[in-house]
Amino acid sequence: MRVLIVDDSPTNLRVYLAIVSQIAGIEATTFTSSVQALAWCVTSEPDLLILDYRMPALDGLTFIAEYRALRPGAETPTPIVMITVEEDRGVRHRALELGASDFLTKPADPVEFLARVRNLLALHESRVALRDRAESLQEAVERATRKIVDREEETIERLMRVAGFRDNETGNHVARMGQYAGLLGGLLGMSAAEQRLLLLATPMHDIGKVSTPDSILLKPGALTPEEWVIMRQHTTVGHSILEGSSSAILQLAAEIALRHHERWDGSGYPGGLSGETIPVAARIAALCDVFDALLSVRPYKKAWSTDDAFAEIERSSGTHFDPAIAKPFLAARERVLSIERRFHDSVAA
Amino acid sequence: MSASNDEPVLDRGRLDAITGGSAGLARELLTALVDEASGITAEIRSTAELAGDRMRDLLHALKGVAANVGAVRLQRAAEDLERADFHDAPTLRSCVARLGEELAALTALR
Repeated sequence: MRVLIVDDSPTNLRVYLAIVSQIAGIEATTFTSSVQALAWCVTSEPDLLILDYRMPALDGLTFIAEYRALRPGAETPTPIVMITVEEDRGVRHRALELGASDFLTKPADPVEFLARVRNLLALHESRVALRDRAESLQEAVERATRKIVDREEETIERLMRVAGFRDNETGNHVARMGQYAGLLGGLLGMSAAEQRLLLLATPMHDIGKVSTPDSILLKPGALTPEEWVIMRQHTTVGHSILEGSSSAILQLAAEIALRHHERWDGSGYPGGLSGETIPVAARIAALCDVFDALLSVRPYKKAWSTDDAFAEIERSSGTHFDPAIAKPFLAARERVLSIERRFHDSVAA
Repeated sequence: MSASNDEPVLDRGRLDAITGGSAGLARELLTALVDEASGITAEIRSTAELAGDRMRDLLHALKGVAANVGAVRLQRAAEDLERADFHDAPTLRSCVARLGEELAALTALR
């Protein structure tokens, strides 16, 4: 334990040093100049500071104020003992206001001096140990949480791989959708945590297609009305796959899977919901899904140009899409295209 | 309180409590006290303004270091000088002389 003692009297310094040296494991530093002591404190932090009140240049009160200012808001502030004469009551009150922890009366009573120093050092040591333990626990919790989050993300990614085997859409399509959705979340003022949820949940929007027969899912031509009925079931199937989880990602993914084909004007499915009755995450996913589909090659269509795709989003704002979502998306054209380039399909599906 | 010859030059019990009974450390402390007190006493002798702030500071410092080490009679001599009538030259001379005597007594103990 490091103790700093500051007193302009060399004799007093030696007296205090002799007393504290009776405690095992003490490493004491002494200064007769309070100015030099404060300079030392800029780079060194003692476990206990003992200082005289009456000192030239920088008295005990000023020293305490300056010392506390070196580490404002410290979690485990250094205990400070100020040495005063008995009648300095006003000085003691001021010292307490400035951050003194305790006082010792001059002339020093060796027994009392030793006890106070021991107690304050023990208290400080306990506080530091508690802080270190809290930090170490916090780190352990963060590590464990990170591991759980990593596993959750990995499970989702593997789930998406399963879905990918059944679909014409590439892995990059779902990755781009997540990225577009995350970007939109940010543009709409959502928190970083909400953006992350969108980024991870949106790619699962079509998971229900695992139940759609290949004859319908991979059909190159137009679907019959009966086939459309089955095709549309991927929303409710996806919801039933994902619902009921305690995972926030899967809860949001279930909502997106169920509602990403709803339209702003109420002409979508499965519920025919309109406007803000459609969950915002599903409104975001709907736009991202269509935009990316327009830019992608499908068995039944060529890829649209980016200009045409953006024009289609603008044209469908207020009918298919929420205008409050379409507008920032269109305004962030360069950022959207940057995502498209970053997750571009190297081989057309 | 006036200094009395019945009082010890040095409170050995106090010094032992400070040093943990180390004779070497006690000698070191005594040497530090004599050195510092000699300097202060020399300044007291040469200070023209006896009733001024500087004199008060010097006596306060002398009293403090003497008390901290347990140099009882030097502490009393400083207190008597603090309380002395600064217009009474003979008394002042006597008080200052006593400081020197007590210092000499302490020096002899080293």
